[in-house]
Amino acid sequence: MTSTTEPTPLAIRARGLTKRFPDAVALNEFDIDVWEGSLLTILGPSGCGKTTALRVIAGFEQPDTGTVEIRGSAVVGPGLWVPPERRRVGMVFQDYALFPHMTVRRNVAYGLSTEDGRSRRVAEVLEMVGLGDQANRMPHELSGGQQQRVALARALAPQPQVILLDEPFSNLDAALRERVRRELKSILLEARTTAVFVTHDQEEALAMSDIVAVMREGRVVQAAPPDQLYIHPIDPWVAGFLGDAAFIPAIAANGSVSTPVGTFETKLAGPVQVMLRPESVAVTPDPEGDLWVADREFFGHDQLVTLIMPGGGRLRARFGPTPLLAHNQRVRVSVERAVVFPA
Amino acid sequence: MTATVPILAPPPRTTSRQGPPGRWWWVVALLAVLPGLLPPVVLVAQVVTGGAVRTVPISRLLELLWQTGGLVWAVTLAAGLVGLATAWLTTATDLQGRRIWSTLVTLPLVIPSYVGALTLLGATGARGILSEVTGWFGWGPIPTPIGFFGAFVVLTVYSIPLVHLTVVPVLRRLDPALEDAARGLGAPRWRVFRTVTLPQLRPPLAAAGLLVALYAVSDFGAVSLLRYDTFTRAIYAQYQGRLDRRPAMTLAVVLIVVALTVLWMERRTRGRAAYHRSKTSRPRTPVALTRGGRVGGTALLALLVVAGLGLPIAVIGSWLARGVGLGLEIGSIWSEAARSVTVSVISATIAALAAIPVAITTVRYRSRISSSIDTAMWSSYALPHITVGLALVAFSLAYARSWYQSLALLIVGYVAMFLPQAAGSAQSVLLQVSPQLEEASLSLGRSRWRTLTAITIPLMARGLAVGAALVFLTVMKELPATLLLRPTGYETLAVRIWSTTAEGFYTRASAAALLLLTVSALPLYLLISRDLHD
Repeated sequence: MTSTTEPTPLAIRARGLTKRFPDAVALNEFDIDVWEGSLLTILGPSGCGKTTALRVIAGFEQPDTGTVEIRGSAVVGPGLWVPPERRRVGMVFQDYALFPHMTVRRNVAYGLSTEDGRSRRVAEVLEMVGLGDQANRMPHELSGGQQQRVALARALAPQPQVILLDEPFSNLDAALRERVRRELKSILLEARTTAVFVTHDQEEALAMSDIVAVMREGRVVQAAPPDQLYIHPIDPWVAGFLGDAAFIPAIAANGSVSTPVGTFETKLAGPVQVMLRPESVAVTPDPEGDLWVADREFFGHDQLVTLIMPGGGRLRARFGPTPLLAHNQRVRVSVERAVVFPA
Repeated sequence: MTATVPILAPPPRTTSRQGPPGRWWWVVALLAVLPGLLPPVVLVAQVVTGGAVRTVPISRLLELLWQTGGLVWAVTLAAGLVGLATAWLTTATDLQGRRIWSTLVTLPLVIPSYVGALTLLGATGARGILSEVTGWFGWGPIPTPIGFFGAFVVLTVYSIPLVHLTVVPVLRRLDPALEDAARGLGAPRWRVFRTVTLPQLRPPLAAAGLLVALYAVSDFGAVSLLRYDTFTRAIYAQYQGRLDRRPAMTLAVVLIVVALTVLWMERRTRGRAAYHRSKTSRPRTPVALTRGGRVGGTALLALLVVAGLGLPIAVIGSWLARGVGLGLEIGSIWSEAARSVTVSVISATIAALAAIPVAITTVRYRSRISSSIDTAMWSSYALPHITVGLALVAFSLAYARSWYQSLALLIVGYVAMFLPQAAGSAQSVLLQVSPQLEEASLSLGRSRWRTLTAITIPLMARGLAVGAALVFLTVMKELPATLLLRPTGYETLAVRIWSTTAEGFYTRASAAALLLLTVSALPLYLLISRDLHD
């Protein structure tokens, strides 16, 4: 490990954060590295401690143990605790927390000192989020998406070292969410800010981020780029949490494992679980096939077919609108990729 | 069984670890609350060290307990029943003009009990306005209902609005789906009311009962003018009549015990009743009244408004007209009014400022200390005003001679008595302000003090203003503590009304009463429109 005094290219470095509440452990040896200029998402089921992690980084909660550095300077450590107002960390809250008694302009200007350049900076960030003409509105006069952009502009205005976003899309309806997500990402890229998101939505995390950190029971179990994470999950729980997966129990020996749907290479030996994603299963109709179609959901751009394997196990396959399959039809499959976990 | 609805979502977080400055708020809050805690301590200390326990014969104590207790029970029961009826009529039925009735019924709140007594005295008896009317028909004058009956009528009429105001918001928020479900299961309407509606109204009814009972326990003006012997009247008589203040203090300690017993009983009644809010998805369907119900309901509401508001105004107006017509001396009222407004404004301002630390520590920094402060403050609210006055007199005579009969001590007394009103309304507003707003301010680099002044206090402003208006109103009306604590010759409107009524100068009393009602009208209007139409 590098010395704590030396500047690192890390925007945030947290080590061993632990936080107990009277009735639960929110953080348990939580570690994270956030690279300068990157967009990292903390993903986890509700109650896993992800919001607490964000609040510790922002300075709203004091951890029991552990350290946090922001751009190389320690803000949390043994005997050290820098209060939130001196961390230069921007925060976008789940319900935006816009000051209801101030106009959009005053909200955005709130974090700026009165020196010259204040009104220019306000105009600049409002322009950046596309609300240049809404400066004199009151927050309640704006739509949900606009309020969120004001919250973002307000957080960006003082040029924070890093910006934290707590479930930023959860208060938007599904139709709006995807558009706002794209806008937000492009604004953050334009502002060249390091950003940390918290979400429980896998799709959102995978679509937004440079790095996704999957959190469970107070700690990060795996942090990797979205594609890596999806293709090479570290354990069955992460695999299942990130998307649809089938697990086939089998016995591995001599560098490979045989299953009803194919043989895969593995360094493991003994009882294992073979994880298959629906989209890596190719299906061909075959009257001699070992599998048969139990159910079929047709979505147009693709279809999701549930197959019964010899021995009764279920397997799901996702592919384009063809071939057309009938209920109870016999098929064979070829599996493009599988991950083998120890059982 | 009580019908309870489980709360599905966890309540929003209102406490904070990093809110406005520091955890030491409770120290400031404690200082603010302290004067309210002083009276019982001072009185008990004086009674014990002064050997005063035996200065009041036990038979006298029992007599006062019987008379006070009887009045309190009667008033609480009557006001509870009638207030429940007015609340139900104006929120749950299709009665014509129910919104206007709902406001009108609360207006008697502006009238202090001693003005109610003035009304009764000025309307009846040989010289009474109503007796004059009966005289036109050749009937004799209406006898003046002094004693229990008069006190009972006045206190009941003026505490019905307390019940109405407490029950209406809850009744309005009840989920009609529960009642629909009960009816769908085949329960007749009266059974639905008894088994579904009424149990849900238990918390507000208990709270209203507490308010009314405490009002009756501590009332001084009506009982003293209508000559019904309760603790407050006896305490004042002892205080006035004798140099030895020990009997008065002994009675005051017993009265405090009575008030705290009332408080304790309400806690017991509240029991395990669930305080929950249901999000009403659709407005309730008003109950269609029968013809008889409509006539009866309207008659009841009209009677209350006439008795509580119309009659006082008519009687005051007539006496004033009669007096002016006869060229009677009205006496000075303007300087009294100026004094009343001055002390009320100062007390309201101080109470609103003191409410800030109390609200912040009890809402944002919840801890064992801060909840004890909260409990202590609300318990002090139950203290009858005459005991607070007596305690502060005793305290200043024993430890702070220069404060005795000073304006400053009078204002300390007002703030001690009425801080809970200001703090309560500040607390309820702060509970609505998300702590995330304060966190957002901190994360934008603003100091905690700046956060307090730019975010927390401006967002509490409405609650502070409402609290200040409440304190203003209550100080304007306050009588017993004012009588004991005021500097010699410092006559307020309340004191003037009381003393002139006691002496039978109803014209002078009416002029002061009219001015008092006028000054109180505006803040009262603001408060009522907030409570009923929120």
